[in-house]
Amino acid sequence: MNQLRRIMVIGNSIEAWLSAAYLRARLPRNDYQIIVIETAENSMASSHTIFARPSSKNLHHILDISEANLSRVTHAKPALCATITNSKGAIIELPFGQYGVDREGTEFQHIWKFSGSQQPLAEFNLALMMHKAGLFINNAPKGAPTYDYGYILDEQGYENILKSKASTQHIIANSLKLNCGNKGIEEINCNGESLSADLYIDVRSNDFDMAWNHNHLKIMGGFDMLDHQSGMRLYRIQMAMERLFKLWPDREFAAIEIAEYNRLEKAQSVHINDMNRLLQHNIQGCSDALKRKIRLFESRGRIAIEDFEIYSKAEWIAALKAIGISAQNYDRLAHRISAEAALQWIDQLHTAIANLVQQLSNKNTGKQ
Amino acid sequence: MEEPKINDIIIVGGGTAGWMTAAGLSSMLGKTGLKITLIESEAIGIVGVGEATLPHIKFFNESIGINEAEFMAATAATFKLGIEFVNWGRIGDSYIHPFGEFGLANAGIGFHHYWRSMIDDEATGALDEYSLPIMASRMAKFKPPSEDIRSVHSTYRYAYQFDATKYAPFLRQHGEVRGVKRIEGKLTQVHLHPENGDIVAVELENGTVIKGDLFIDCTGFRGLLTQGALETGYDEWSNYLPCDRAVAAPCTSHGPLLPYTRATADKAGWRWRIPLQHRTGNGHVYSSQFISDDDAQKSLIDNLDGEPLSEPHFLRFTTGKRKKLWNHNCISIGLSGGFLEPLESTSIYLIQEGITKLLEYFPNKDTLATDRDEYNLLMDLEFERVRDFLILHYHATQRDDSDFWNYMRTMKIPDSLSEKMELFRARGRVASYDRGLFLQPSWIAVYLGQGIIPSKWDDRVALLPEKDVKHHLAGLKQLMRQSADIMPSHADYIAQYCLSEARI
Ligand SMILES: Cc1cc2nc3c(=O)[nH]c(=O)nc-3n(C[C@H](O)[C@H](O)[C@H](O)COP(=O)(O)OP(=O)(O)OC[C@H]3O[C@@H](n4cnc5c(N)ncnc54)[C@H](O)[C@@H]3O)c2cc1C
Repeated sequence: MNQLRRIMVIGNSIEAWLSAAYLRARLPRNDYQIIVIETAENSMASSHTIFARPSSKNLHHILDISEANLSRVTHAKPALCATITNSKGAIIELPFGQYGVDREGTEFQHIWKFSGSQQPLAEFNLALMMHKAGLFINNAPKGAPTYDYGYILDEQGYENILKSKASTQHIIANSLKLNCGNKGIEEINCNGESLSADLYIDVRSNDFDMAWNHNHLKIMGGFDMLDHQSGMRLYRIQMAMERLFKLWPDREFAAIEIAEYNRLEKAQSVHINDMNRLLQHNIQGCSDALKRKIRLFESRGRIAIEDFEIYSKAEWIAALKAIGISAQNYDRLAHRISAEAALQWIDQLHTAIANLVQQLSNKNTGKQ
Repeated sequence: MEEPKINDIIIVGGGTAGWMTAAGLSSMLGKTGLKITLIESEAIGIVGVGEATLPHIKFFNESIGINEAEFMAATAATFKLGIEFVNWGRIGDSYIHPFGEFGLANAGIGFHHYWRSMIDDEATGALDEYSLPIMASRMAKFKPPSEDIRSVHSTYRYAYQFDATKYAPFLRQHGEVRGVKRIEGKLTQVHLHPENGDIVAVELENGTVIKGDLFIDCTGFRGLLTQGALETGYDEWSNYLPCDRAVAAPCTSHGPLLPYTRATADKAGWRWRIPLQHRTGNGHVYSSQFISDDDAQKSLIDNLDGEPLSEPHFLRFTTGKRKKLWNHNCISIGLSGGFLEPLESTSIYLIQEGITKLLEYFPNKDTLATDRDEYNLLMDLEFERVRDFLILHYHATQRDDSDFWNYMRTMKIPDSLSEKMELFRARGRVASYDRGLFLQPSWIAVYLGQGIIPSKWDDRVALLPEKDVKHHLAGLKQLMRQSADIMPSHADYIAQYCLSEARI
């Protein structure tokens, strides 16, 4: 039999337990053994919270963690944007909702620019406006700019849920040595004992060229504050697991499948690095993909979409604007309505959003 | 400050590309003050082939406000649920590349893995039996897909097969109502700016000079603006796609009205058969390196289903694409931009993509360079991904009965394709990407249809007891058969929905 049967997850905290819980949820208990080798190193200065992007809803669906459970155990608070404080102390909000409402096939930001409206673009983003006012409702009212939401979770509570979902054997590694050869890991020595598995998922890495090599799959687990604030800490694990399950290997570890995994991983890492560079105001020598994004946005406020995008258009717009890049012009399609009609419509939308936020504040129903 | 707007667009050419561009631009940008002029020469005419399409065209027609039934009646169109490939992997083989899904994924594992695990069991049958559009095609049935995503009737899409000589005139009416100005005349000269080399005007045989800001070259294979004037150059792909000629001849209809196109591999190319309401379109695409024109014509005529309706008509082409689809202030849309041969009906799709991307990146005079670079980048990617998919059909074959097939089978293919094929061969995985025309089900249909059977399949299939997998497969097969069976016949559906005068 060539099937994988024994999988070891090496690492600690959320990264390790999320990986183990995901494997547990997708692999029948009777057929697969999952062991967590819990290492001691601390991958970051703890901030006691975990930020989850909207895509974590899908993750929680797979893990069978209901929103009610999440809220009870982790005091989950909905988040309408990711709030980043960069190394220069600047605060940048990446919204999980669109700017304004598209009209007649034209994206809102073009009509806004064309109209010459004096209202800041951010004031047309309902997610941002509600976030600023400390408000939350599940769904945008009809006709209003749409949004989604992620969560701010208590780290310890979240780890506890994941542990219970993983419900798997774990070994605390006081000492750990990986014996690596050409074909990945030959064995590991944990607390003086030799252990082996069919697949090793190592979530401690923060520096690697190849994400997956034979039986050794490395997932970025060493992260910085930026990754933490933007939700990449969970997202990287979620994506790695999704890729792994798309390309589920057997013990032969076909090189072509591993190459495909590494290709996808690399493409996504470029997007994360690009966004991090923008957030850090550090675009010198950036990737061609980011140069293209900047060039297109500067010219007409367009967002270039690449394969395997992670961030929404609205997040890119917010990040680009935050470093002072603004669109010099707009799409020709904006001219489909007259400038006066555009301005009138824009003003109405602005008033409607402001009124909605005001009403929610007055009622105090939507307080987060 | 006055915005440096593009105000005058000149489209040269009134074939499918020219009138689709005029209709698309006038619908979306007509209200923005854009003046659109289309120049065409009746004396020169259009290529007049290009009858089979992909489902995207439905969206194009809808977005410019075309009524489907009117369009179908005007162009004697039929519905198309896929393409049948006969004799491609081996002589005697047949499979359909459907516009829809196969089976149902289970526990996140693609259906074809379950099917692959059971192919040694006779009861499993061909993958085709697990696709509703294929079953409907085989039974000559048709019904529009359901919008209810829980229904198996929502698992497919459709395209059209239409009379290529009638689509452009139909769109012309549409464009002219929206303000497109048509000029009849033959272009004889292109005036370039002496410094920057941009096109400033075109001149007609009668001496009329027509100035514009942006020029769209829809002059077909001639590429009068992009090549004739701007000397853009062409990336030839004939080493991968060596067919360079076609001979076309319509014939009378024969048998039930089929909702699919057929592509039958021949000794040095392949023959198409496209059922329309009033006739059947036929053609033979071939490589002149491997077969003479006479033999190609003979093979076409010998294999017609009905009586020929006109003399065979020969066409020549070189597969490839313009080095820059947008060069200076000129955009090549249609055959002037490139041609990848008609095997998967991708040309009209590429026209549509050219128009959509032009609308998306519609320039101002001062942003032209940025918009142009982006347009070229995106369109090059489209062409390259379509190219790889086409090569797959020729290369993944076991045929060794002619020099042509020996060449195709053993030729060097692009790395981008060999990696994809290797990935599928290993365990039935389809390389992921977000952009590009053909999605997972299309690749699966063609890989398997061409005889690339993965040596392994997803391990986790074995987690389900074999009897459950068999039960699941048997249930799905029955569902597809019964669901196709209750559809009306394609001919009946057409008769009540969009009967063409050409047929009556
Ligand atoms: C054999 C074959 C089969 C095909 N099958 C399919 C298919 O099944 N599906 C599909 O999607 N596509 C198919 N195509 C491609 C399809 O035919 C074309 O993409 C489509 O017809 C668009 O052609 P066009 O408008 O670019 O060129 P044309 O139809 O050649 O039009 C060119 C226009 O330019 C004008 N013109 C040229 N020179 C001058 C001049 N000097 N002055 C003024 N006007 C001029 C002509 O009058 C004409 O109006 C096929 C092509 C071939 C060759």
